[in-house]
Amino acid sequence: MRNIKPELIALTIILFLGSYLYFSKLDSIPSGLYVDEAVTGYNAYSLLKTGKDEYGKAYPVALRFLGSYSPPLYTYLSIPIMAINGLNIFSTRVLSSISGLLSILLVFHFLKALKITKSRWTPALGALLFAISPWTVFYSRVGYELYLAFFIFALGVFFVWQGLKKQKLLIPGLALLSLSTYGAHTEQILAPVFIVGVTILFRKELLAKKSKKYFLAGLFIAGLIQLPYLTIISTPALFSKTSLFYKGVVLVQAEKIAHFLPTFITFPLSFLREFLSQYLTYFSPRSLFFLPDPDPQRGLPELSVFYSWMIIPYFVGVYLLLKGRKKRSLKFILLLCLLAPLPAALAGDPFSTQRALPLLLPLIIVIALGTDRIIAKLKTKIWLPALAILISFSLLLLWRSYFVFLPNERAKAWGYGFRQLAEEIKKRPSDKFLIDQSRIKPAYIELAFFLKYPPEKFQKELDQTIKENYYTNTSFSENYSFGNIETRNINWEEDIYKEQILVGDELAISEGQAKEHFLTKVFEIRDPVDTIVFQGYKTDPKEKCAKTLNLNPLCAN
Amino acid sequence: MSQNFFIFVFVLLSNLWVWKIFGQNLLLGLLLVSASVLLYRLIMHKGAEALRYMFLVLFALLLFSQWQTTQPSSLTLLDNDQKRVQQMRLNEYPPIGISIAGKKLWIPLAHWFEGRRETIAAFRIKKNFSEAIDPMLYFFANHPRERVGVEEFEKFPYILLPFFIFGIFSLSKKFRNKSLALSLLAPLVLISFIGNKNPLGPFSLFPFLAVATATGITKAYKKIALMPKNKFKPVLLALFALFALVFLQVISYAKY
Repeated sequence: MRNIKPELIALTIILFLGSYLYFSKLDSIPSGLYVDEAVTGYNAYSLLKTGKDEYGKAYPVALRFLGSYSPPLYTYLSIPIMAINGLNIFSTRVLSSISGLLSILLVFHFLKALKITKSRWTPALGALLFAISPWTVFYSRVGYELYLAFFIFALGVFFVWQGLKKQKLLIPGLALLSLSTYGAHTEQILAPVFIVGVTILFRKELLAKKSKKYFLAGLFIAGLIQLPYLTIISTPALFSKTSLFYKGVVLVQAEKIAHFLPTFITFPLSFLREFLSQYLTYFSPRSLFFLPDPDPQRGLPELSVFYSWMIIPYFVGVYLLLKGRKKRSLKFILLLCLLAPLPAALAGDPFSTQRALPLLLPLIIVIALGTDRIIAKLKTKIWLPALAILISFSLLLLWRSYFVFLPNERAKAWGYGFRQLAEEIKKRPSDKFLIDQSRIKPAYIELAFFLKYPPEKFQKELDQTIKENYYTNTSFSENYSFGNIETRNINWEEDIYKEQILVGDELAISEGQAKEHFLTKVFEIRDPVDTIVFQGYKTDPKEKCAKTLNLNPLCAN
Repeated sequence: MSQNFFIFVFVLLSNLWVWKIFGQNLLLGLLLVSASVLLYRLIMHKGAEALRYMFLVLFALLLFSQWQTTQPSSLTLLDNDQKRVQQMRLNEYPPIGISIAGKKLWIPLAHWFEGRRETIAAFRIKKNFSEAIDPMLYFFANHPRERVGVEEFEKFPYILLPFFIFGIFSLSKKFRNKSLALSLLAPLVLISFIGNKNPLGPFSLFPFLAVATATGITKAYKKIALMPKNKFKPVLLALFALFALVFLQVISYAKY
């Protein structure tokens, strides 16, 4: 027992804390199931049961999720979990939680390997700050690809760093970076850019005699890993996210400048400003320490991606990073820091925590670096209690935001209500349901998930031409029909003359419409803050026809 | 006029913010420019004690103007919608209690976080501080995270942001200089308490921003000057041309 290092005891405690934060109430917080989680979970289930995805395509290289052609690794690795634990919310999310836990270990070892800190406690402290950061906690509990991709990318970066000293490690490092492109869209851009960046910046080390063969072998294996993608390189599936680029915004800005400057210069100039503003917002203190992600599904109520007090070690860390930029380790981190937000900065969303997730790694290192310098200047009896108070208060804020507010206030954004809707549908197997699609995320996949709709049946009921043109037919329609369910917008001129249950929220089906068309409310589903998310109305075609003197041609049926 | 001072004057006048202030309040504009010049002199040349007192007086007047021109916003009062959210949140908390010797001791966390005036004030101070400290406000009119209900406007051309960061980095050892520290901290503290509802923005931070940016440009210029002569002029010209283009761009955004 005496031989156990105190840092390792600290790390074990942090891992326990991480386990609690990432696994506790995983099936109920976030409440509901977001559409991206539903599509991931159901496709893993479908692949498990049939060896094919929802469209009937056998083991695709990119999954045609709602037209996004997502990298498939998370879904494939979820298959064994589905086999053991079945199709449910926990099974869908747990792979992210495991990735989160492993990432704590990684951050600890990375901080140790970088040798940039003075205190022996800093690697453990950095791992703790990482483990409790809202950015980590949030994405460690999300049932789709992001955190797994982050972990694989970060592991690749770690091995590449280690490979600069122990050359053999370049091979797994480059292979993992290549593998991370099967993790998430962000890594598809970031991993190759990072490899190029490292190659340019550390060319002397990488191309030195003793490391050249390992570096080239690593590149070769990385290339081999890319072979599956090469099979679809000529299809639009591999470039599905190019539509996120803010071309429209740049054009509008270019028009403004055209009053003063010749046209040929307006577009590059407006792009320059738009890109720089998008890019720099990922380093802005307001975005990192004070504001949540603007998207209600991706943001935590009243909490940013880091705690506000971390702004101080952040500033100190940035200063040290810039000051020591010529040191090998800090040069490496600076490179990672500068490259990580690139994919996010090319998309239009202001501060997307999802696309910028790889930035979490260099930023936590910067914050740990700053913390290290601050505690080095203070006596232990001062910094230890101060840090204990700050961390306790941070955990309170996390509890308030994530475990109190989020499940209530963000329930609707997280697809709350579909589980209950599926129960209502199960209760009425002989009724036909029409789910109004106009104001919600694609409902078909949520219902297929919660109804555990047999995948082989689902695949047969879909448009078979999609399977044939899987990677080229990129247009996605939210209109589906399977079993006794149809998802599309309600057509008020026709649907009221058919025997069915219309489902929508208060705006989709108003009380006035219900009265006018003789609809009878059969169920109502409210979210935790008492907002109606779904209400089901049974049509009464006979009454409607009788009151309108059978004038509508549909009354003849 | 020394080269460094010329650079400072260039920064001082080549931004839309100072002209907006001059356009709305000539006296305030003069006060701002004078305080900035004095701060620059104090940082670069240390200056006489009298100069420091002059700066303190002008800067105090600037802070007073900031306070006077800012629409007061309460740190604790809640409007109807905020009251609704507060009530909703008070109900979201689960009961929290600990058992001591068989007795349950309830901890009113919900009230502490959502109901107490001190907490509400602390959250608002934090919000005000976050808005004032963000470089995006000064160089990108807060784009792409513009504030709801606030008319954002262009201040410094965004091309100056790298120089500002470089300037802060260069000035970091001078933060023991009381005037410099005061020029950053006093406005931040004041704005954190009085809020950001000011049509001219947080102008009391202008002297610090101008000095830091000018320092950055001066340092960068010295680095460029070390280049071989055949490269020095083209690089300088290219930078100047880029600045001119960006300045026109910023004007067009402000105008249209």
